Amino acid sequence: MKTLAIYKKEVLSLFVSPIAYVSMALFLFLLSYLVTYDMNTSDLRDVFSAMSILMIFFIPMATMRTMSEEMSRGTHELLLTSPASLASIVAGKFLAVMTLVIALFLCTGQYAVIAAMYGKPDWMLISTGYLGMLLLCAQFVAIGVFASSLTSNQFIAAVITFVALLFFIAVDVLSYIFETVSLGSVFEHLAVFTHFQDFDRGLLDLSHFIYYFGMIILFLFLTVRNLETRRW
Amino acid sequence: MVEVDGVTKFYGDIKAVDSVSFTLKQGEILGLLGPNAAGKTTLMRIITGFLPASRGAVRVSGYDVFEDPMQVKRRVGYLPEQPPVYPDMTVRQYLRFVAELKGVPRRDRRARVDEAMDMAGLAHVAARLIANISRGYRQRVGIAQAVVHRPDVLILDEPTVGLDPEQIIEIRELIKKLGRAHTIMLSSHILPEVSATCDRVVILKQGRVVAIDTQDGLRRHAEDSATLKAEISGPAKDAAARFAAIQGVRKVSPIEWPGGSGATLIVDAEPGADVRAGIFDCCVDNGWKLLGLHREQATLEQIFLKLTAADSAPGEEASA
Repeated sequence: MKTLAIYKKEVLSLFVSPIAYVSMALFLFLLSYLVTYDMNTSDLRDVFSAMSILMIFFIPMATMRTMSEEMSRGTHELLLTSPASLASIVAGKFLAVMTLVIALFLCTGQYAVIAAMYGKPDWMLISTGYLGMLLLCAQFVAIGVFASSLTSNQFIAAVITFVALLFFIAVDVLSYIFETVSLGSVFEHLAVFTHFQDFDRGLLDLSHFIYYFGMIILFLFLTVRNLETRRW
Repeated sequence: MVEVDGVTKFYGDIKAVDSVSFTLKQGEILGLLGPNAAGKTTLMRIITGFLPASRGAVRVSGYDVFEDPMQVKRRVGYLPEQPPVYPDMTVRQYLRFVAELKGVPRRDRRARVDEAMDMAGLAHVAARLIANISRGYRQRVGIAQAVVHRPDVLILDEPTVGLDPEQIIEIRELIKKLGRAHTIMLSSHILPEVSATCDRVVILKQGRVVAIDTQDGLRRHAEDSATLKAEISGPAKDAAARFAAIQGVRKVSPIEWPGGSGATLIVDAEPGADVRAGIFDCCVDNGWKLLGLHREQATLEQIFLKLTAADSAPGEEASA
């Protein structure tokens, strides 16, 4: 499996460049700023809601280079003429960005520590919250990797990702408009936060896992298909 | 080793490669020659499995590139026109990554990377970031990358483009060295490049093969008209008229030297006719001094121009 080779290379270039550190620092700074005025409970729900908003900006920055940079540098010619399947290349890149996201999660552990110092946090609730957050971010990353495979321009890739993420967040607004129609529930189910809320409340429902895994697989599959058809 | 069989490639309506067929024999260095946009890169991309052909087939060591792409990719080393390097990695990190990507077993990886670096003369820059090495060294890293998994066939797309003359000579030497252990196909739009390294030449124009031959064979083709260059001290126009009257001379083009002290005359003789004695006698009869007279060896350049021009405008050659 060539996923490991791609993964190691991606992690290396992610953590060697200052962009990863700068964007992580910015993320944590803004998160702390938002949370300072808002953290009233010991269950980190305010942290998660602030994080999910900031992810709309962070994920496009983290994923924009994954495929675009290979195409603009011509290094995709190396990858596509190597005995490595497209699926293993895409998987390696996806997992590398997820590593960055998990590194960011570890940095947010400070809020759990603070919550434990001043209160009695519900660790189960925090765990399910992180699990939900991880799935939500994985969906965002899959969308970002797909957007990056559409263009060799990183900036355009970031913009596409940003707009797509806004769509998946705001789509439940449409469900209010179509409240009386069955369409309304479709939009509601498409929206990411609909599925995140239960994790935030400590509920693990199979349907939410299906939603997130379905979305992740869908967008990674679209990435592979897109890379395949670009050659024709 | 490599069989290209009737390969055609369309980009939309544009035919980039048109029914190209040739074979690359074991141990051979084959040059793919053609002007820009002749379809060289497209053809190489098809052979390496980067692009699918619209029609036709490519087999490498008996494996079809469309049906068994992984088998082909394992046996081919490819250097694209732009060396596919990551500037944020060191030379060694990069080559280790490529070795792993191309399926070199873990226990052999270090040895293979060292071997490739030695061969390409990269040992002393192993720890440097690729961003900080010169264009010539990047090209060597690109070549090392192509050989690190010990492929049967090397495909090099314009391996010396954008290099300075000294680097060009170094890369040529490197290619010759590689030719001892590998079967190589390289492309170029520069003729000396091909004549310096290749055993055989495939000439492409507008996606079609206009000639396949050994270098000697191509040169022989072009020797059906012998061109002489005469330098005299005498009047250019007068001399041109007199030379044209010599038996066997087809055409004379005079170039008068600045100041009118003499002229260079390009004499186009009929095939097989030796007009040198006639030119000498003509000069003596008219009291001009013959300063130089030599036969122009047809270069690949001229052959190339002739072949490609003949292809696009068949009437042109007859009038020349």
